[in-house]
Amino acid sequence: MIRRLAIALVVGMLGLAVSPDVSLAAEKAGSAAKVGKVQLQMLVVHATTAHSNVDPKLSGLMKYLSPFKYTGFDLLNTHTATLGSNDGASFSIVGGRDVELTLLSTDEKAVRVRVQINQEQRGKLLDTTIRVNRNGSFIVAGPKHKEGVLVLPVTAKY
Amino acid sequence: MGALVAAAAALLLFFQSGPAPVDAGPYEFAAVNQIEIEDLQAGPDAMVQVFQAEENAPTIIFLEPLDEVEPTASEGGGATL
Repeated sequence: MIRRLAIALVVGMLGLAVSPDVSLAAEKAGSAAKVGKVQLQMLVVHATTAHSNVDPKLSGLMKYLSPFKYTGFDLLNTHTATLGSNDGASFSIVGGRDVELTLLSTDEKAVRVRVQINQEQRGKLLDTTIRVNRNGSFIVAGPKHKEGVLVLPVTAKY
Repeated sequence: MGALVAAAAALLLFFQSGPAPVDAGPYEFAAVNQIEIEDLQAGPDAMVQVFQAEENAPTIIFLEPLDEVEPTASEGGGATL
């Protein structure tokens, strides 16, 4: 009887010692199967020929835009929205334009994002649906602003 | 006992560190940026071009309203974002 009690005690203690790892493993397995919220981040950058200053925060962007004619890059704004599937967020940007980002679906490897840009009096400028890899980015550019254009890098972080 | 001391130290560090700065350093892109354009529609008076500077670089979707097109093409024929 005493022997059985001792064995049960030892097994119980072992269980207590192991249980945190077991629960952590279970938690990891759960997160692998389920994608939660996705953070969509959009920068609003003014690319211009009027000067040659580059905002230090945009240094990572320069190598992708260097082949083009613009010499100066100002970070006008940073918009962030944390979205679930079928959630959307709308941002007003310069020039009377609105950018709407809709998270259509997510999985472990990629997300599908719809990007709509509308402008007062002009209506729809762009409506596109893009599948982008996890933590990946794409850039929408072109709308005119002062002596240059707007550049809108969009990143899906999760 | 050791676990309690470690937990107390972690709590102390947590409260001393305060909130992380929001604008820390330059904006970084991932090493791999792969996209698939499932649908692309521009307004009736706009033109769209798609560029990618190099493999795994972020794809650039360049939108140019036709009445705002500037005669900016260089002699080399390169893109004129």
